[in-house]
Amino acid sequence: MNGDGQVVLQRVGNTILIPVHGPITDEMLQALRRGLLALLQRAGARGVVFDMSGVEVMDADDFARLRQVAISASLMGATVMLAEMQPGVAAGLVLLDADISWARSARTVERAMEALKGA
Amino acid sequence: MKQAEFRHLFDVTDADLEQVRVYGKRVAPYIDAFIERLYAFMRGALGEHFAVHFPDTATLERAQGSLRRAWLEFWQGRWDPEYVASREHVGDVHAQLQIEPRHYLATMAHALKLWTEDLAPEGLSEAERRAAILAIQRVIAMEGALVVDTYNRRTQEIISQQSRALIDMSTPIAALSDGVLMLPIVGIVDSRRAQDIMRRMLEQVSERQAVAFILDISGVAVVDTAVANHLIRMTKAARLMGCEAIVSGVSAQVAETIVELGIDVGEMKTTGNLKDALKVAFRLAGIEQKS
Repeated sequence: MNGDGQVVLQRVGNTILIPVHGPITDEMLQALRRGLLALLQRAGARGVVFDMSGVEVMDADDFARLRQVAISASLMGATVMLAEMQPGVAAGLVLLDADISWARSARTVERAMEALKGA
Repeated sequence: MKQAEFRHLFDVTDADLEQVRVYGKRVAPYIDAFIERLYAFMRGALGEHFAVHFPDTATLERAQGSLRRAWLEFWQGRWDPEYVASREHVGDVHAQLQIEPRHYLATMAHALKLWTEDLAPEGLSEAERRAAILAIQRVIAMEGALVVDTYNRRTQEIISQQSRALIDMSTPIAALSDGVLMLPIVGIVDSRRAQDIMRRMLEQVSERQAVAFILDISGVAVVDTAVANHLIRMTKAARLMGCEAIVSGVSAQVAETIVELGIDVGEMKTTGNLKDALKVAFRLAGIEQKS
């Protein structure tokens, strides 16, 4: 995803890598969901990795909407992982009591990819 | 005990205290003039410190009021537990306000001069005057020593409290191995410190690409609902970043408290000792261990 709402979906092996860049908007998430689901339907994938390193600010609502994207992808059989979340974002979400129970996270994109190999 | 020790050290006899009482009856009526002159002296002698200690009229009036009471008590010629306690309180207050002992002692010295020279009662023979002054000097010296003693003790307490707080504040995060970090938490965990720990912890997780983080709480003084919630938050935030936090050093007592308080620890990983936590952490980091 970049500034003008374009969604970038990179296919790496059997996984789809999505670099997320803030600020997160409804339009962006909708475009992301449509693009991701279309790609999953067309080609299938074992896993989806959200690269969160470009996100500086995220509130509980943004995170809940990201959850919907993740759930819709997992309904299509893909395991979703978050990677490289920034410390401030993680601390903020926890202090805001955001629901994080759904999220599987990895420290780095490589580790996420590795974890998904076994999934 | 302290009462007797000070009297012995300064050789203050019952006769001395009687001298103070008799002299006090004669000079007590001049208390207002005394207060006025003493503060005039302090204003001149203390310089910039005077404004620091007495920033406004209300403070000044309050201080003058307690000084007035203190001197009227002094002229009662008492050295009983109640009086000693009141002088210890004076020391405490001076320590808390960080009033230098030299300023206190200089003021006492000037007070002695005021009472025995400027405001000296008339009609005393030279011998009577001399005897009274010697007695008053001894009692004032004893009182000054008590106040300064208390001042010192209180100041030391303040310093050791501060250094304890400083040690408690520190969060020494150690890297045990690639991807494994550890932080022993010692002392009291309040919400401010918990936030500080969480911030440092997450920064280090990001910087050193940690996949496992051991929080050892065997040194935490009290684990109550608030502390448990802080720990749960820390582990959640770490998990969001892809790092598993393991809380080690959960004693039987702490485990019992957590259950009694009905705290839902959720998916927080906990172990009783550091050894088990290390095993879990190394497994997460994919490090082989000898069994």
